Amino acid sequence: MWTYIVRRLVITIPLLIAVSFVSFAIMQSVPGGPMAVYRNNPNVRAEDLARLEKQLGLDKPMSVQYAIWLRNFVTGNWGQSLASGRQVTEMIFERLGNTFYLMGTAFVITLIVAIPIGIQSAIRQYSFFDHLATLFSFIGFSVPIFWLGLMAIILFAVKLDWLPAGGMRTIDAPFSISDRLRYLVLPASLMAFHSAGQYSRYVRVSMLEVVRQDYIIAARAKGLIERMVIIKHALRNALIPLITVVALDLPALFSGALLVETVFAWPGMGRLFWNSALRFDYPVLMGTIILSAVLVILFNLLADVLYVVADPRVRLIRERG
Amino acid sequence: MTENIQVQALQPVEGVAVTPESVTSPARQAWRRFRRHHMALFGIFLLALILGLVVFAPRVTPYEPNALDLKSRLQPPSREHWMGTDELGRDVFTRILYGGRISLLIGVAAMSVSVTVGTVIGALSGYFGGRVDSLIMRIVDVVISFPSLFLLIMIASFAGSSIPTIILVIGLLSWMRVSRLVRASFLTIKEREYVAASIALGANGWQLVLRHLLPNSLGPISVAATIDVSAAILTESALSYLGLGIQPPQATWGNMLRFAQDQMSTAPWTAIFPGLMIFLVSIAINFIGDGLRDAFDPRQR
Repeated sequence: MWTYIVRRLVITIPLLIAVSFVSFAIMQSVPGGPMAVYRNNPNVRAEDLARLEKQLGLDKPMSVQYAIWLRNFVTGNWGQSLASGRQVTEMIFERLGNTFYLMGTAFVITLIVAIPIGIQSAIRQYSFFDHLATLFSFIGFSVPIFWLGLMAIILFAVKLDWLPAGGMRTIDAPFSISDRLRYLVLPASLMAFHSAGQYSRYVRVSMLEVVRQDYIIAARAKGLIERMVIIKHALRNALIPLITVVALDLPALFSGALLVETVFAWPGMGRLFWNSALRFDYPVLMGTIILSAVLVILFNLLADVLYVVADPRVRLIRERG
Repeated sequence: MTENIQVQALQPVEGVAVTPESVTSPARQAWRRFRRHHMALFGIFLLALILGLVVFAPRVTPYEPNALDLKSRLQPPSREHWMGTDELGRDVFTRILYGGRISLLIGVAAMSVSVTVGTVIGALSGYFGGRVDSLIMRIVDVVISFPSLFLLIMIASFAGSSIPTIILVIGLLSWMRVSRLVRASFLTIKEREYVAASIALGANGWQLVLRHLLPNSLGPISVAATIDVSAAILTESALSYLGLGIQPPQATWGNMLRFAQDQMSTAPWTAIFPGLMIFLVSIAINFIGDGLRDAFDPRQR
C-alpha cells in the first residue's frame, strides 16, 4: 500500500509541473504581459514600469522566470498580491478553510439526500417515485446554480426574510452556532441540490447492478428480510463506485463553490479568485489555480486508496494503466 | 459448396417469421427507441419552440433589444412588456430573445470545437493504442484535474471576451469527455470481426477509421455533443454573470442576470426570466441527450 502511494505521489510531481507550467505560460501570453494593468494606467510612468518589471524579474526570459517562480513556490514564497500587497499564501489560506466549511457541509447534505433516494429508486425501479427522482436529478444538473441562488435569495431573504442574503456570519456579533447555521443553510443546500441529483443516479445504477449478483440471491435464499439484504449486503458494495464519482466530480465542485460563493458573498477561495481575476492579480490567480490542482490530485489519490480499502477485490497493480 | 452455404444462410429459420419489422437497420431501431422516450420528445418540442422564437425574434416582438425607454424603467410584466422592463427601460422579453441568439450560438459553436478536438484526440489515442494512448490519456488527466471554471475565468480575464474568444476557450476546455468516449469506442470496435475482415481485405488506416471506427462511434459522440451544448450554455452564462463573458450592451442570458442582481428585491422579474431560459434550454438538451443515450445503448438503463 505505502509503495503504491509513494509511487503515485512521484507520478504526481511531473503532473503538477505540467499544470503549473501551462498556467504560467497562459499568464505570460497575455497581451501586454502580466503588467498590462499598469501599462494601461496613464498615471504609471514608463521608468516606474521598467523598475517594477526588473524588481519582479519580468525582464528575464520566460523559462528563467518559470524556474525562479517554481523555486519560490516550492519554498512557500508564492509572491505578493499586486492589488493589496499582502502575501498570497496568507490570503489563500485564510479563505481555504471557509471554502472547505461550505463544501464539506454541502457534501454531507448531498450524501444524506442522494443515497436514500438512489436506493429507493433502484428498489422501486420505474415506479412513480423513480420517475420523480429522475426528473429532480435532471433539474438539479440543468439549473444554473447561480440563478437558483438568486431565486433563493429573492424568496428566503427578501420576500420571507427568514435567512440572510449573503456573508458567513453576522458582523460584530459574538460567535454562535445558530448564527453560523443561518448563513450556511442556503449556499450549502443549493450546492447539495446541484450534486445530489447526479449522485442519486449513480447510486441507483450501481444498486441495480449489485442487486442482480448471486450473493444477493443467496442472502435472500437464506431467509433474510429484504431490508437487511439491501442495507447489509447490497448497499456496501453499491456505494464503492461512488468514491470514484466523488473524486472525478471534485473539479466541478470547486467550480460550483466559486459561483455559490460569488452569489452569497461567501468569503472563500472561489470569491477571492474571482476578485483577483477582475483585478488581473496574477500571483493570487497562480497560487489558487495550482493549489486547487494539488487538492484535486491529492483527493484523487485518496479516492484510489479508499477504493482499495473498501473493495479488497481491486488490486493496486491493475490501477497503474 | 460455398454457394450452398450462402443460400442456406439466407433461408429463413423455421418458426421465425421474417417480417419487415424485425429486419430494420440499427439506425431505425435507435430511432424507434428514441421516439418512445417521452422526455426526449418533450425536450425537442421545447427546444424547437425556443429556437423558433429566438430566430424569428424581429417578428415576435415589436421592440429593439437595446432601445432605451427611460420613462418606463423597471416595470413589472404587463400586456405591453410580457416580462417587464429593466433598469434602462429595455423590454426584458426582447432582450431574452436576442440574447438567446448569442447564448445558443455560443453553445453550438463551442460544442463543435470540443467535439472536433475531442474526436481527433480520442481517435488518435484509440487507433494507435499502446504508448501513444497512455501518453494522450496522461495529458487528458492533466487537463481534467483543472477546475475548468477557474481556468476559464483566468483566460477570459486576460484574453478578453469577444464572442469568438469565448467560444474557443469554452470549446478547448471541454473536449475531454468526447475524447475519452471516442477512445473507448475505437478500442472496442477495433477488436470486432468485421474490422479484422476489413484489414484482411487490405484496407488501410484511413479506410478503417472512416468506414468502420468513426461511423460506429457516432452514437456516443452525439450523446456527448448534446451534453456539451448545454454545458457550454451554462458555462457561458456563468462567465457572463461573473462579468467576464460577453459584455453589454450585447445581451446574453448570463449578463442580464448580472445586472438584475442589483435590483432583484424590487424588480425580481429581471432576474427570474433570463435564468429560467437558461434552465429550460439546458434541461431540454439534457432530455434529448438522455433519449439519444437510450436509443444508442439500450443496455445502459
